[in-house]
Amino acid sequence: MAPVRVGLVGCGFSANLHIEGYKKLSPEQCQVVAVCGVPKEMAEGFAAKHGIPQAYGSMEELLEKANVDAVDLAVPNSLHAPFIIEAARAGKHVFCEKPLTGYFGGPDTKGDEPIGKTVAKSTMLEHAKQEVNRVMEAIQSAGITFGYAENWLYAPAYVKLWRLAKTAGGTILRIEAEESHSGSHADYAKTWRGSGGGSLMVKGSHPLGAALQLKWWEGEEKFGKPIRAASVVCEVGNLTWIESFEREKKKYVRTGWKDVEDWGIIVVKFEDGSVAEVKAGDTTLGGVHNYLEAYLSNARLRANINPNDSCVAYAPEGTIFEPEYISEKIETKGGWTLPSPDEDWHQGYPQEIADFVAAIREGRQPVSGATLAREVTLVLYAAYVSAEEGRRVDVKPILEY
Amino acid sequence: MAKVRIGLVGYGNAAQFHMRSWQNLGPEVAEVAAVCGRSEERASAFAEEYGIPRSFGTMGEMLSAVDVDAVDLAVPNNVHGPLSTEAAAAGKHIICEKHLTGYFGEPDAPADVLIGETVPKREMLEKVKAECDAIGRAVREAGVAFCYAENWVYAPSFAKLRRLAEAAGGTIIRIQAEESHSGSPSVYAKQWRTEGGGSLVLKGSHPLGAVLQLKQWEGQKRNGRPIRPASVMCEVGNLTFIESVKQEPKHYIKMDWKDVEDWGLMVLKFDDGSVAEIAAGDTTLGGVHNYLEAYLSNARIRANINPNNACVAYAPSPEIFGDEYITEKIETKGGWTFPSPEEDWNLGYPQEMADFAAAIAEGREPMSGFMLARDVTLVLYSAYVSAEEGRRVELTSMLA
Repeated sequence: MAPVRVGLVGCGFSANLHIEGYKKLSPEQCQVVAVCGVPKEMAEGFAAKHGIPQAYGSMEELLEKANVDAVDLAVPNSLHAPFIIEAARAGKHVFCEKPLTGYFGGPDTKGDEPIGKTVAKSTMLEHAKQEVNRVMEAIQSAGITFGYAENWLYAPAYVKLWRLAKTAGGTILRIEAEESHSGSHADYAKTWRGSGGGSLMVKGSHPLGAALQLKWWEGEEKFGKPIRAASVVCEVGNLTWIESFEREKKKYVRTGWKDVEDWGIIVVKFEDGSVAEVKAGDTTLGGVHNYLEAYLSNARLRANINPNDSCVAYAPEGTIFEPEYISEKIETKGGWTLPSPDEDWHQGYPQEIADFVAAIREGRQPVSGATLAREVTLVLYAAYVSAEEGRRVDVKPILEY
Repeated sequence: MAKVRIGLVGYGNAAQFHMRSWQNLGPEVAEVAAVCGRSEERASAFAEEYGIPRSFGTMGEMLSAVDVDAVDLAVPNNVHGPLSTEAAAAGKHIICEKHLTGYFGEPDAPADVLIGETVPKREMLEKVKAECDAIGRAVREAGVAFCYAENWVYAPSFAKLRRLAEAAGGTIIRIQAEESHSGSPSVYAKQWRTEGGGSLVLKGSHPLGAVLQLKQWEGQKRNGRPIRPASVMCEVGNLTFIESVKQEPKHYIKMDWKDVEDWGLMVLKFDDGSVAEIAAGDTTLGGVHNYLEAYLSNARIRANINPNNACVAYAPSPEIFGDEYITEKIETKGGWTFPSPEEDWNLGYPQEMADFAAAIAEGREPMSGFMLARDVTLVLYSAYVSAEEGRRVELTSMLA
């Protein structure tokens, strides 16, 4: 079988992450044949750096000229939905960064409008639902393979956790999961317009996806049908707006959040009565904090995606380990640290790319696909409604499709 | 410093570990002069076992016969309210096991009514608030000290956390805390009538107490007034009622909960905008799981009350460690374990009694006092209202 020809759309942070994943595969399996970006010069620079033959100024041009089997969408969140639909119509398989889509303002929204404060979350949910369903229709009618870049599903610790849970066979009663660190550097993460939400959207979507998937699998394993979310209760907050924090001279936690939360918690109740506590924050010191713990009726399992103690180090001063990498967002290399031996591998980045390519070659859907992408988006926006209205939100009617 | 004379009320489990703590402090600090309980016989047996000079059938008899400075109420939750009021009226300082009070059903309700399922939580909250306020008035008017036996406030790892937080000086922006294990064996823990709630009341009150105390303390340090909770959002569940759990042939988690939750989560927002996530469960394997983590603007501190790795052990087979104690509620002594070197100390039991004795002798407020006792109770019942009605509940005016 011929190698999968991939067109990379975007040349920023995610594109860099993805290209490393493709490079780990053999040229018989896949080839990144083109990249596009705005401005075109950036794409050309990216192409030169990574040995990609062709560079274009838009996805439209790439689709027209590059003869690719699949596109990899490493573009801002607000572009995911229109790009997926366009690529699906052209019959291309799609690999898309999370989230699937969301609410980023309407056609009349002014550029500087703080939509996180001015638009009702129920309106956003309605919009997101329509958008998600449009994307699903495009994917299904084109019959393409759709990969949702939820790397947690491929993180080795999480994969091991599920194998142990499956073997134990007990009921997954409770899941606790979190992704936090001391704050995104990117400006787009600080506005609703840029990201479609705050910490819950940008970070919480990972542990949420992993939690929803576990119950989904459990249901399929036990009853031949998924166990899905039934309701959500959510709180969000802006911890960096606390007065005494604002007065502090030196800030170790990122500030400057505009109209999005910098902390949030979602409590999901599932159809079978089990629960999940999903947390996300941009206010947590100590490096990226990614974990999922599953409490079964006959076992207890924890996946420490990051940090974990596969390597433990100590240095009396922060300079001693320079320039060796320790772990994402750690503020100091001094004292005890938990250096990540291979962060990409622990987070499942090369594994997700490998599964996407294999899925295309085998004509199947990848482990992380459109169904999970849809579920995550809708549960997230239902959670925002819960926090804004201060009430539990029933998600069953929202998830109906 | 004068020695404090104690009258112990109760002879059950709580009375035993209180007694161990008093003995630990030594006779120059505190002396348990008498013990009382519903069964005079059992009180007398308890007195004999611990070398307590006198024993009685009621607290009233004890207080009129023996001159004590304080009563130590190591009795079921549903009598804390009346006994506290009675002791205050007699001018005695009060040491009270958690909780201050709760809702246990109407006196005339038939014993088989599942009040957790039939009485609206809002009604419970109103009654509990009235009772809290009545106890508060009695304590205030008598001018006695009220010592709330929330041991977490005194647990060494939590005390260290507080000192580190003080040194760091940053804002405590988020707190995560939990108490869980695989389920209370007692039937009393499984019905509302006897405990006034489920996992949140029985277990959650500890992490909640520590969280509230930490923010009170932070506010006192920074602004001279406590930071208090402003709202609560809560979810409760019965994870052992899940159909597939019921069908499993072997249960490692305690089953048969009646009208109380076996898992709960409270999300608090404080009046400074900070938050706390407090979890409690009777469905968690692996031994008692007690921790509190504080996320500051310039530091992060975790108190692993239990388990922690002060001692780490491994045994290829569970019988190898024989009768040696490992830790509370651990299901097996096989595999890797975290044996608790000295559980009472680790949980802050002797330390709380030391502070209470000193507070009474010095005429000051204990670190864990009436405001904390009242806040814990009212936040818990407000949380139940939140879970039942599926909405956020405001706390500021209620706690005022």
